[in-house]
Amino acid sequence: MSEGDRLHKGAATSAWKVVGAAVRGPSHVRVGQPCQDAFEFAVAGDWLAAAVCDGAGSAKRGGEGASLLASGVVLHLTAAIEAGGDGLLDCVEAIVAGAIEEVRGQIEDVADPDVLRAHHATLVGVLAGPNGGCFFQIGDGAAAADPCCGESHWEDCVVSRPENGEYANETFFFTLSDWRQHLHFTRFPAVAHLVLMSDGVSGFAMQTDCVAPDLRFLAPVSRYLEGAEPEMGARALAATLDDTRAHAVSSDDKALVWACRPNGGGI
Amino acid sequence: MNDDTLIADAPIPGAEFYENTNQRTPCVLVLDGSGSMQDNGKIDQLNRGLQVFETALKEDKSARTRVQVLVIRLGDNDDVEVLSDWGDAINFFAPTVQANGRTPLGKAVDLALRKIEEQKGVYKSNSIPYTRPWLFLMSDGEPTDRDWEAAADRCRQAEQEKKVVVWPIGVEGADVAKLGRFNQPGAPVHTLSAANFRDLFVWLSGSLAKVTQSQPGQAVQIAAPPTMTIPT
Repeated sequence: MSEGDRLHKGAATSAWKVVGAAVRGPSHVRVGQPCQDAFEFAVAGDWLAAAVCDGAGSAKRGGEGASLLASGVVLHLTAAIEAGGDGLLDCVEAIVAGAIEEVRGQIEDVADPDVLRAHHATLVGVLAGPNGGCFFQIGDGAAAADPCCGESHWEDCVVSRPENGEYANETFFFTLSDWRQHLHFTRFPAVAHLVLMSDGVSGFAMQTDCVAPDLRFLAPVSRYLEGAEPEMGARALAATLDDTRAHAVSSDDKALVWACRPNGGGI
Repeated sequence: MNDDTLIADAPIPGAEFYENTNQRTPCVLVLDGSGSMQDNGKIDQLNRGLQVFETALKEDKSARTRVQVLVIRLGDNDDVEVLSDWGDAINFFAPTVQANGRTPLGKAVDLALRKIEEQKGVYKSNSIPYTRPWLFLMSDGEPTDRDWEAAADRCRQAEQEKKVVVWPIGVEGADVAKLGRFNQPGAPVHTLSAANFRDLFVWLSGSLAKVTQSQPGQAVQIAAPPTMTIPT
């Protein structure tokens, strides 16, 4: 769904409830650029595949790169889920690398090496099943997985952290030749909730250095989304990311995907 | 529009937004305090410009907590001194630069590069993210220290290795070619007259504020202020 500068989507099955939103930041509104954050997710059986991507503002087609990457990776992972079985997580590295390779292949033009660079984008993604999952990440943004542990939601998370260059405004993209060196995986056990976000969100949804979620933001958001009908929740999430208080922290575009296992995954 | 629509399009209740980034943008001002800065009231204009810089930085919500400033003066008997050590812009008070003596620009640049590397070490050991430091050289005269050319080469090298962004500014009457030695070959040396100091510092604070808001992968578009000229 799209309403002006806000994109949102919600879905629920017996295995996963998922809500995602992306909004344009004031820095892109000012210069008339579209939202360059993108997200996608899919639920197949017991499995969830999701990705949040942030297109580089300096790249001519960064926003397109982010969209192609998010949808391409989720499509590829969904195909792997449908073809795979119990051993899916054993070969997650190869599956994700294959997905990125495929998206790069769709964009690449041997006659023009600049085409790939024009699509610079970061990636934060997840492949998760009933017994655990794995985050994968290139560049900045962050992700957190909340283990099934009763009431103490989000307090003992597994976190996927950003990788920046020496300078805070430098990061890594799937379009770089050495992208494999910057593709990081973080495994986690069975979880009740998980969240993926772009760097426009991590400034307030994560603590300093992205060591853990900032519960002042994430706890009320997660509680609300758990109780809301998915599409309504997605709209409320978009409104939250588009709040002036969020834009005061970061003028960048913002994207977040939240997911939970209904009833804590039945555990 | 029903009630559900209204609720869904409002932010989620209870969500709080605390800024968790502690990013810094270091900026060193190397200012010429040699005797020739007395001419045409240049030193007074420079000091007024510094005060404008202080005010403008403090007025910017992002810059005042993210920009860190260090001021170095050169002059006297080929001496350099730190007039104002590293500190957040919110705590920066414009020092008063005295004009007296010679122009040891090489020595001042060496000190600036050393202070920048020291500060990077502080950031790294405290896990503080930072953007590329800015080194601002402002002089109206010719360097007088013996080894200034070697220092200029070190500065040029540091810029080439992306350790720093160098901005040489020639104040009226400056030897632009010599100032240009401190930057990449062919890179512009901006020049300005004493009357434009205020504009320069307004531009500097605004540009630094932009850098503090820059996002990964986003090139920051910084244009010279209209009152500065770029010699061709």
